[in-house]
Amino acid sequence: MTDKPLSLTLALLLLTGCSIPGANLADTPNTTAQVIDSAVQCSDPNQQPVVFISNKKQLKKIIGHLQGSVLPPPTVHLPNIDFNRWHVLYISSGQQPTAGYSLTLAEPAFTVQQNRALLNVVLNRPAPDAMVAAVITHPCMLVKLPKGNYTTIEVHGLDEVWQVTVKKELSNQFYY
Amino acid sequence: MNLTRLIKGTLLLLSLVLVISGCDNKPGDPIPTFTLNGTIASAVGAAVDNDVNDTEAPYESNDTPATAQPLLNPVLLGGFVSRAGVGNGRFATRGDNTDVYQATLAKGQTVTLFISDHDAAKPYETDLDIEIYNTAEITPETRPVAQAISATAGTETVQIPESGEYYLFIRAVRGASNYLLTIGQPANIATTALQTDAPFVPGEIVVRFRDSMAAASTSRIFSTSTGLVKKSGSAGHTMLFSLGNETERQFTRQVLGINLAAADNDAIAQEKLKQETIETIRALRKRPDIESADLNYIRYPAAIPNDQHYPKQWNYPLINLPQAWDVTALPNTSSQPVVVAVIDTGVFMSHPDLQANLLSTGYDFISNPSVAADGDGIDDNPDDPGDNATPGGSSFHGTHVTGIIAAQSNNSTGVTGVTWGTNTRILPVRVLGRGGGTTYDIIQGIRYAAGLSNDSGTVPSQRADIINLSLGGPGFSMTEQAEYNAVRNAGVIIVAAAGNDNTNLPSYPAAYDSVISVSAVTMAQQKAPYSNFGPSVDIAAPGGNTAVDSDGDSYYDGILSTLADDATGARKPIYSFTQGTSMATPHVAGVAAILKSLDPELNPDKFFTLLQAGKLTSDLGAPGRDDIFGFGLINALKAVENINIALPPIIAVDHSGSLNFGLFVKQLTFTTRNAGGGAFVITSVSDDADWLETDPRMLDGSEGEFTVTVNRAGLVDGLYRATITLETDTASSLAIPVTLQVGERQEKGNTGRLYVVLVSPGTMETIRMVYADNSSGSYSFQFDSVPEGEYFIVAGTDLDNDGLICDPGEACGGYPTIERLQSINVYSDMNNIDFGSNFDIIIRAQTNNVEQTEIHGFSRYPDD
Repeated sequence: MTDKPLSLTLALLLLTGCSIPGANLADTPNTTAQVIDSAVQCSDPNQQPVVFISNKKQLKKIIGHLQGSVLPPPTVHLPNIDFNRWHVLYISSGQQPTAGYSLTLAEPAFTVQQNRALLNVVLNRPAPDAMVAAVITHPCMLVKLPKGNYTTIEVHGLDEVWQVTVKKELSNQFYY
Repeated sequence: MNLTRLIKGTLLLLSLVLVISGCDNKPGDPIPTFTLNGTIASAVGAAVDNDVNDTEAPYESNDTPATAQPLLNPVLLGGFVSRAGVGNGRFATRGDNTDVYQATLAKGQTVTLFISDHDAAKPYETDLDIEIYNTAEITPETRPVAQAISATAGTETVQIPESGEYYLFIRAVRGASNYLLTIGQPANIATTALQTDAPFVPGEIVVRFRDSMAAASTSRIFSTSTGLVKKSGSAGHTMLFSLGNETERQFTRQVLGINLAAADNDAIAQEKLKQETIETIRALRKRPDIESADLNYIRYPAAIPNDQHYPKQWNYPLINLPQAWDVTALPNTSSQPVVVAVIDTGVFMSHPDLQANLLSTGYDFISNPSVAADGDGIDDNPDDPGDNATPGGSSFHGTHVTGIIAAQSNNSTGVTGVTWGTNTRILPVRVLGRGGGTTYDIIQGIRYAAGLSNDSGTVPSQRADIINLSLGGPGFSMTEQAEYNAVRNAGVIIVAAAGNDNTNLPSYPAAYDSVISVSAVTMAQQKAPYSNFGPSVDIAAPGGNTAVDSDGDSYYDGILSTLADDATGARKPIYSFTQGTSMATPHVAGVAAILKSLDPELNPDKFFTLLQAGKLTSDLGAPGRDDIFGFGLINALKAVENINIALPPIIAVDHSGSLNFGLFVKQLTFTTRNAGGGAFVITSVSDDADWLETDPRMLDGSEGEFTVTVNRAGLVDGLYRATITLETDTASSLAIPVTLQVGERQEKGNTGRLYVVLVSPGTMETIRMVYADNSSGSYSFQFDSVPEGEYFIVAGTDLDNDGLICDPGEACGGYPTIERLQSINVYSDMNNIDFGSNFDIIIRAQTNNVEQTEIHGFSRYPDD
């Protein structure tokens, strides 16, 4: 892998007042992406960080992750989602070393560029100097996106950028 | 934590400041250039894999035993293996599945493989294994004499069963990774498989004779000839003998050649009898008429509580709690409870499996109302309203911790607490809220728990005997250290979580003096993937691993305990499997509470003394204390058996229990002290090798300082072992194993081809690069035509060929040190820019801040 100090580059560009070539700040934000449910102790140790969900069966299979590993097993209430209007994503940050982590949507959360939908999420972290509970956490959330004229969804804000192809449902793929 | 990430994260701010301060270059001015040179010393004992992925590094195959790469002992080696088709570089297509090394290893010596690219969050993506084969027996059908083949561990460790010449196979099972291989200190040599740590009846021996037909007459002759007294059993079956009275024992010692003095006082008589029993068995096992001779181990019925979910609490049998519950003669209803303060997020006070064991004198010390989320600052209500505004998002961490210590037990419902049967009560102290907490609030909490003055203006009616802190954070504070000292001086045992970053960086308060730091193990008694390690770790306990289901019970291997669920708005009592050093810590606090219930005089000093003497733990990892498990895994049975025994004098040394001179060390020192009660005097110091000299530089009773010098002159190449024996007047003797190697004197190591780079402090970009190859343990480098300016100088290997030097598992160095890089201002030729390079044994950490996730190593090539 050839990771670059991207944050540094961006910081320098901002400090020097330069624009970022290719960045289209005029894209119309679509804030209708919504968090359906979220949790901090999800039980999906081997699950991919982003999973595309296109029907109730798939939703039923994955929603139990949000309940964590608890006893007695909780009654799972499936959210009422019209899959004709919405795409649903399961998004997980993976294991985190302490309490104080959670996933939320960024602002703006959802934009469409040509045939790509961009979803921006935020992994909230405890303050660097905070004293925190030394328990492993595993934040995750379910998000619904309005269907539109796009064929792929890119999820930004996790350790990597993740892409899912809308046409080929479930064919999640590591992007870069 | 990845060292280079930390360094570069720290440098990021400096870089921005430099950029903001601006440059005043005048366009058109010629920029003068200069020459820089220096030397990089390779760490002693370092070595590098002959076939790494770096396309520009020297190459020599070490894929088979025929091409095995010889290693010195001890050694710290950096290497790379990969599966075919993974990654880029030299092995992108065919892979480098196996590296084979050859080394002379001593019995009990530990070989450890650190998998640099292991990611605790994705443990199945990268898997490296280690297998050890005897060089004399290597065929395709040969089984390894030792192996470590965990599918998910980041560290694999094997112990060498017999001294000899071995092949060490490092195999890539999945993925590709740098690795570090260490051959470290030899373990204490076990001369028998007797489990002398397990409880047994002193003076009794279980015997089977080889010739069962003649057993009747054989046993009579045996008794007469050995002085051992038959207690029970019949001809042809297992028989029980005892050591008899002192006269008979003296006869037994004489005929079996056992060199043990008779006990000269009652305080150590029992210990002497145990030792004599063990020595007698060792002697009997050498006799041709004996098929087997063993200790008469004590087996306990093991109390089993009837709580519904107890069968899922694998963590309790792991630390011998059921047997301990038997020993404590439950139930115990003494009027004066043992108080354990849980300094945490508070407790869901209405949880039905906790209510009965909660004191009403808890307190809430969260001073910031927005953090407290209960409408005010500090108050006398430690109830946990949740630490997250989103329903279902709160941790209810303190409730989970409390359940491990003191869930109501044997009530046919829920889970069992460690302290079942003791009169233990929880003092809930709330200090963590939304976003965590502050050291100030925590200090108030521990002072309150200890009965010391605090911001509440009050103290509990009964102070805590034990404080549990399943929390932590970075940053040492003298003030905080003093507060923990004050609490310990008040007589409170403090235990805290070592942290979950899989790093050796300290987490506080666990790393403070006065605090017992607890690391975490899995169901397999291995280091939990996330657990911190390092010099501050004192003890290990079960912390769980929710990435696996080792016992196939359809539940991940977390620690099950009480919790609350507020997904619907109102809190409901539930139970949950979670993992962390947070969960390990209350196991230790709970066992401490059991001990306190048995011994009201137990205080921090006595607890520490017992811990250091190995009386509370089962040793794991390297013998004695080590950085992963501390003094070992908490063992409740062993602890309760040892708590009421007045400690005899115990001789202890200040190192890992062995001395390894390797190839080039000439002199080592160790000191002794009394780790037990009473007093003893060291009466003699001896060794059994001509090449060894032990000089007591200072000796005063039990406290001594010894210098050990070795002389390799006249010794042929090979591995040598010896023992230094310290005899005392009243304590047991102490044997210290010594290892020495004689051979090619490679006093300086080789960390492989280095890329030496000049890095701009302003942009952190690589400006220039030169190669440097090892020559007799050092590297010379020179940069020509370097433009005037400021630079960092960094050097490192790129074993995985990812274009970045100083990745985990790669050698790294910088001027003046990699930990504290300083820029050099180049305005003239500069000579003698000297520094060192080495491999850093830091296991890949889970990332936990932005800087660390975005920055990896230094670019090997100049940036465009």
